Amino acid sequence: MKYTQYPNSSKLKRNSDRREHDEKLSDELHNQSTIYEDEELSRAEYDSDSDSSVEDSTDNENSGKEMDEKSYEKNEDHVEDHRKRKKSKIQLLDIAEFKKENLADLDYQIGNSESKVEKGVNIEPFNIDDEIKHGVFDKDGNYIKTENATENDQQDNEEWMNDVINTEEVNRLEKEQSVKTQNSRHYMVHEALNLLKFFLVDENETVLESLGRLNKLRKIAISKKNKSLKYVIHGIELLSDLINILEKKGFSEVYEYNRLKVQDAIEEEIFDDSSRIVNHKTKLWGFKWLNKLDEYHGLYTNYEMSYWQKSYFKNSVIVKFHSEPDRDENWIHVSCLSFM
Amino acid sequence: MASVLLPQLRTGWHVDQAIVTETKRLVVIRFGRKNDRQCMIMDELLSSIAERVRNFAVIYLCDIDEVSDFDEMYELTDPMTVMFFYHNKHMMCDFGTGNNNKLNFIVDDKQEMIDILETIFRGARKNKGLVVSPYDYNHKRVS
Repeated sequence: MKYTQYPNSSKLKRNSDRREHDEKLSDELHNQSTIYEDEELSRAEYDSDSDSSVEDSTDNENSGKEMDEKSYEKNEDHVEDHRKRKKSKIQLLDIAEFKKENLADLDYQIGNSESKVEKGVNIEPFNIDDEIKHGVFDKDGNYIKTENATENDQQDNEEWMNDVINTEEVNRLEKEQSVKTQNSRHYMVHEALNLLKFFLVDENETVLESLGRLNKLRKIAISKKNKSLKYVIHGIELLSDLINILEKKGFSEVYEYNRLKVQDAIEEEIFDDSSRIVNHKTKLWGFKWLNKLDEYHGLYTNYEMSYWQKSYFKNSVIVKFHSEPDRDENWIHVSCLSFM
Repeated sequence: MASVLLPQLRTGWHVDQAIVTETKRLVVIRFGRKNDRQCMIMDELLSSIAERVRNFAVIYLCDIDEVSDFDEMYELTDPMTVMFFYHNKHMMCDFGTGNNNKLNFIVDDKQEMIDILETIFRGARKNKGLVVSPYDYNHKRVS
């Protein structure tokens, strides 16, 4: 009884295996059949209509495109891989270049520093001969100067100090400077401007042109060997002093001043009516004849002097401003001035 | 001796009136003491030039022991101080010493002092409050 049951179970297993196998076979067959069906359908369609062929071609094209796209995608992947490799190489190269640049900069900086050091520091060369002359080396190699050398050094220092500090000479220079300042001319601004105006012959002549005119007069006097040479030079010196004084007091463009500008400056700077000059009333000038230097004539107004300059003096007279002390350097030849 | 030749300002009122009433000329006031050496030297110089500058400047003396009203206002701490006023306005001058408000050192030369007064007067007439000295006194800086 028992034996009869076992064969039944084996049969059941065999049956189940067969069923599975059958199912697999049926699936395969189904697939094959579907394939064949598709082929048949395609053939039928091709045979029946021309339009269907177009559709098929389009399908083929679509499939081709798909394939192309896939291949393109693959190609793109390859390109990307290639680019990544290139990028990694470039980065490496950049690192190397960066290092080179840094090293080059360091080398450049070192070079500059070395050159600066070389320029800045002037090291005297080691010279045994000179040192032996002035001293001695001991056993250990230390250098010992002789007494004569030290004495020479002290003498050199004393000479240097004597050159620097010379009290007598300094005092002498200071005295000379003080004497010069005392002897130099000193004018108020309006006084200097008034005197400057008389050196300008006409309204358009500037101070610079006036200096040129006086220089011509000086050359003429030199060529003729005339007595008036000294007094023309006095005129040039006075004009130069006036220019210096006015420049010192803030008139920086005094060389370009003409008679009108000088008159305007006088009107601006004058602060008291008593110092105002009236051509017909104010007596300002004294004169001497060149042939009779011991006789003094004065004082006279601008109007009188101007009239006599044109008709009576004939460039044979020297003149002096009333406020000037009676010294030789204050007398000026009449041709240097224009009174009105 | 020079202090006798120049007019003295006895009180603060006199100082004010000297500054206010003068309308044409520069008012120069020396603040100091009679017996101080620097003041005596400066008074001699000021008295010697007073006549030459009378057209544009008037000079007064003021003893700070008698008149102490202006010590704090003008910081009169130096033994000798010269200050300048024009039309009731304090005039400043750049001497190169760093202190533009006053002249607190001795000027040795008469002509220098005349030039200084002239420069200040010319600047004052042009409504300037600060002028530049024609001479540099950097070496006379008072610490």
